[in-house]
Amino acid sequence: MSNSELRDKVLELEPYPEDLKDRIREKIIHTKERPLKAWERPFLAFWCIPVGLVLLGVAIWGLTRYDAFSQIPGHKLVGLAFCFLFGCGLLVFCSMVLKKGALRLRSTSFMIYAALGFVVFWICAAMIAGRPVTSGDLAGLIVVGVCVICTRIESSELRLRERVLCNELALAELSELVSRRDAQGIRRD
Amino acid sequence: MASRRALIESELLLLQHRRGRSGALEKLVEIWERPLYYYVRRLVNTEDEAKDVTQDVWLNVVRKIGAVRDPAAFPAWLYKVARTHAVSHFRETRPFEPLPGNESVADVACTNVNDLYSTLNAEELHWGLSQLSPPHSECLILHFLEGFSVEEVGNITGVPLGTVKSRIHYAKKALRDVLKKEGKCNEQ
Repeated sequence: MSNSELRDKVLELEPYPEDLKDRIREKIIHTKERPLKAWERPFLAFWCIPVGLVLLGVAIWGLTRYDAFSQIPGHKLVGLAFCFLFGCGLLVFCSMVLKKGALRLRSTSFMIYAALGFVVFWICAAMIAGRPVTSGDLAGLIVVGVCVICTRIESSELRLRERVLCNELALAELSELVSRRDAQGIRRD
Repeated sequence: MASRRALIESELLLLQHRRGRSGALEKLVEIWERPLYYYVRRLVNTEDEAKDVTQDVWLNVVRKIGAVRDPAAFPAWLYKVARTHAVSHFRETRPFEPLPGNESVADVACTNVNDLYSTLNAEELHWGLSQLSPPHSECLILHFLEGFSVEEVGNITGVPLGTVKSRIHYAKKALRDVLKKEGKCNEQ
């Protein structure tokens, strides 16, 4: 008898309570944080943070500077109230999209994509406003670009490791089948 | 020991969980819930306590699974979490009792894994483990049943290498003694 067979037999001798199985599954469903899918990371990072900032910025600008609004008495108060509600709405939206998403926000790659989005937004805003792009902006872009490349490499490594493990698993299953067949005394001609 | 297939599968499932594949975590739980319960059951006194501790362990594992840097080290991490929970449960329920397993340290060479298996069958081993003290049965389960190295057992149990070796040595001796007393083991 192999060591793993002996282990399995020993484990079978301790009855495993079925109610515990159900309790654990039920708790897991309510507790687990779903990690971000590959497409969700850049999408959420890019859209939730810089686009949110742009929308908020446009709203602030429109409500405080635009002539039509500035004619309204108390426009600044209205603008602040609007921005507050808009910000709250954005937060609620983000937290709903990122439901139980503490894990996602802690994710390094999420932060890196968000940083890329922010730097791109910063440079675009500078160009639109007619301000010259400084060497500092470019340095920021390069640093974030390198970080994004590293993140992509890491992600590719993970994918590669997953494939290697799939192959190893198939081999392990095959060798288990062969050893089981040998144990049964069946020999191939 | 845990089959090579189970180890590879758990590493793969952990990677898949990180990449957001649904159902990977549930499969991971399915692979390890029975061995983990067996281990916890040896550390606590009653079945109800074992159930509570096991449930808490899994909750904690699900919450902190992102902290596992090396997927291959998942089993050792899982058992470490389980042990920590079992010890805290022991402290909560019996605050004035000393923790078991503070025997003197002797640097005894660790013996070969296979010679334990060669002399015992599953029923004997199961019965013998239930007769040993928690530190002894714990070392035997981790080292011989689950196949962790002495260093990994030391890391899980939080004791120095020499103590692990000594515990394994005395645990094997104690196992043989209890089995001999019951007439379940040939004298080796």
